[in-house]
Amino acid sequence: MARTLTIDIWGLDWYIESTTKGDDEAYEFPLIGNYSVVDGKITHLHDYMLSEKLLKRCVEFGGPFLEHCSFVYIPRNKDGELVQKDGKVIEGDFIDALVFIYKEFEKKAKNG
Amino acid sequence: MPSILTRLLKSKNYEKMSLDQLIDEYIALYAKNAQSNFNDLLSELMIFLEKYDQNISPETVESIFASKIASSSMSAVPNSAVLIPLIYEKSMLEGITAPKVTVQFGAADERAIKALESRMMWVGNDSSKRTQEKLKSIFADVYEGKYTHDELMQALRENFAQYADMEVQKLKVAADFNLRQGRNLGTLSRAIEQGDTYVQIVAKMDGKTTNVCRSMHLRVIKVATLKKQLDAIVNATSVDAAKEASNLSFSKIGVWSATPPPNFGIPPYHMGCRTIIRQMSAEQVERMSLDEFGREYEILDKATYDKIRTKQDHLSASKLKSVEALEKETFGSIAKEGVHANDPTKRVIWGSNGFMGILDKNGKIETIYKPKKGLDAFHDTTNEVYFDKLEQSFKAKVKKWLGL
Repeated sequence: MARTLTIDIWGLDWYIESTTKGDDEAYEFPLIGNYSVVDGKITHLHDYMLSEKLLKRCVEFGGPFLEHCSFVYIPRNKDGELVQKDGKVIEGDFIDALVFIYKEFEKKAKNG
Repeated sequence: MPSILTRLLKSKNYEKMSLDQLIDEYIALYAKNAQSNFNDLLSELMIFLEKYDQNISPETVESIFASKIASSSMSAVPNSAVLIPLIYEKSMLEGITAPKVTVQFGAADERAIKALESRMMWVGNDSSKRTQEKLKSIFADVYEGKYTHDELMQALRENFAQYADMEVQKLKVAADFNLRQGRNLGTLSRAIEQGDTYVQIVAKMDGKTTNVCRSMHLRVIKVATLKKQLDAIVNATSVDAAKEASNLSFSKIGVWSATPPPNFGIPPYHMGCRTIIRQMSAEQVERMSLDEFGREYEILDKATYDKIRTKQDHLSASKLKSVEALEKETFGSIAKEGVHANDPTKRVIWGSNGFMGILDKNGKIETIYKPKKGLDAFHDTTNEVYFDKLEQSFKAKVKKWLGL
């Protein structure tokens, strides 16, 4: 059964989070703000802004980024409060989730 | 009594008006009520326009509003202490596209301008009396509002037709430097006259901003520390003395000390510099948080504060108990600083505590977090590192060893 993680976009910081604790410190991973991997599975990602360069880096790394999951996204309003009614679920791998975040930032930039 | 805005809304079909027409109409109504407070009126207009068209930035509105009032012949528009600095700041930061400034300059400005006109600097090799007289006359015209900075080039071209284009360009750069220095000296003189204790340096942040301007951006400086340089510039009697007093020696390396070096601090810091001085009240300075080099920083908003307080990669990655303590620790000991790779208006700061802070062009903190791969993440986020404490201290040691 596919794992469920959450996507959170707060200002220009973004997070992909799970409830799994712990971290395989020795796991080789591409350069990204913050990450945790447990048993070869991504349990936490965070960075500020999301560039094409970072997206390509993750695509090239493949591996854990290709795991199919459900990503629950609940947007925040300008005050940082979660707007439950606008929530959605993205089915796909971590690359799909990152592309979704990238597009959300594009939308944000467009709307000022 | 209904507000001007209420009267405008009732009397006109504002939805069909362009922004330009709307501001014209507003100013016309404003002129009839010139006793009202300028700030209140401007705020009122801003709030309204935010609802009217979300694509218009407050800066745009402020700029259009200021330029329209500045070029207006309406006698009812007050020559207020609020309006003049506003126009100054907008026109200086927005560069050569700035509006004509037709408001009268104060006595402090006139003295500074007169002092500048008493000697010409960096005008190529031609220092003949005739050239100087021509330049003085053009400068006077700019100050009186006959030319915008845009039109200055054309005026120089016409007056110096015998020069090659390159020479005219050089003259333009020199003239622009003098005009900007004159206006900054004017602001500083006014601050001294009004008994202000501090001024703040404000740079225009973009991909063209130099290291020195980034290092000085939002720095709060005691007026007294600039007095010596002010006197040296105003009293310079030769081109060499004026050059020395203007002190352009930090343009590449920037200024990385809590107190600026003696004889330094008044912009412009280099040719083509767009940095300005802003007057500050002591009350404003008291409320500010300043980084290691005396530059203002502030958390962007409550949402950003909450994010740093609650999310795991931020405050909880440190041993500190409050966001304020994390800010102070990060910005109180800066190890490196650079330009954000995706947005040159943002500064990326690497604190000695291993946290990375990202500030927008107004010195507002957008995030502070501890990247897992440390400095590699900092270098990946920046495309130019213009301050490195370790490198500077190494260079200083080498200089000492070499007895330089």
